[in-house]
Amino acid sequence: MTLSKIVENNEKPENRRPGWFSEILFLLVVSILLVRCSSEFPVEHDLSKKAFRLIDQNGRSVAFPADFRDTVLLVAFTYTACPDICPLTTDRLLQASERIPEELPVRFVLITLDPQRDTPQQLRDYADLYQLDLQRWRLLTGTIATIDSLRSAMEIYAVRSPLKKLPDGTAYYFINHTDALCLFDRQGRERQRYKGSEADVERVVRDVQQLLSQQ
Amino acid sequence: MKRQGAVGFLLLLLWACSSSDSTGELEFRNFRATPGKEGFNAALYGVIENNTDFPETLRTVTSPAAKVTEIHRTVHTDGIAMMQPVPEGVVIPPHSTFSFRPGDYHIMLIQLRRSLSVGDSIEVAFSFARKPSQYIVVSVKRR
Repeated sequence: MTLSKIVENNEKPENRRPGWFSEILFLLVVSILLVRCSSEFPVEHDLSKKAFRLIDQNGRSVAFPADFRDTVLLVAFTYTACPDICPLTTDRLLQASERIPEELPVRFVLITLDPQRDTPQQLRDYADLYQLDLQRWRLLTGTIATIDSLRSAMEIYAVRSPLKKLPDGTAYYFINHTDALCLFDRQGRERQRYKGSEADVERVVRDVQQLLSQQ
Repeated sequence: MKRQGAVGFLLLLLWACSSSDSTGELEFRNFRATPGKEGFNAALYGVIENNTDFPETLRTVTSPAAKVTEIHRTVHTDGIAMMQPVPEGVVIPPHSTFSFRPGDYHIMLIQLRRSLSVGDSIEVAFSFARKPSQYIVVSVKRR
């Protein structure tokens, strides 16, 4: 008698686990894994039911984020007169866009914190300056009230510095603001936030790919 | 034509002045300007090295490329980036360096008089408390 036969014969029927036990165990493990994976990108701000009426660089109306459904978004809050932080954020976003294949459903969005000065023309000039591919990039402005409302929904801080005057009498100001780059899923929910000016481009690209694979 | 000649001479003069920093008492390293459209703002970054035995204060920076030039510092507090003007200037300790870099101290070119593209050059004047003003030509670079 072989050893396996001995084992088989000595195995008590009451010690055998029923077939459904392994199925439940399998489902439990899968569920835990799914929860673990999804918790890597908890929902930071849910804008899935929102449609903020904004205007893009061509003057076209855009409902944000509703019009970007089924697209993963990398969204930065910047303004074109910003000389130090926003160019760094734009540059990080540009580097990420260069590493993400064009065929993937990913778009890059800059939303202005300075709707008073950032007209569609100003946004076009900014896009031109950074040679942004407008097939994949959208630059958005809007009314002050709408931008404020969007900022509020996303907890983005922005306050003007005191007004100063140029020698020719023109007033100018800067904006103190949250340094943020936000990753949105295909449903319009913010799932990850980075410090925009110092964002780790490799990590951002990895997160985009991971979010795409989950959805 | 005369005007072009004058501009050329001025540039040469500026370059000569910047080269006159060959004493090495104050060295300007890796200075660059960010690109910008006319009317936009841009930033200047780089390192000043003070090779003297005394602290030196950089009081102001000026450039014909912008309507106003200011020394600023970006400060991060609770995830918020705030720009603070530094009207008193910055002190460069003896035998030490001072860095103007992205997200920290920088020189702001406010309201550019003309568009600056990568590869362009601008003239910049640095005024110090002890040493005479220094003039350098700075290239426009993306990063």
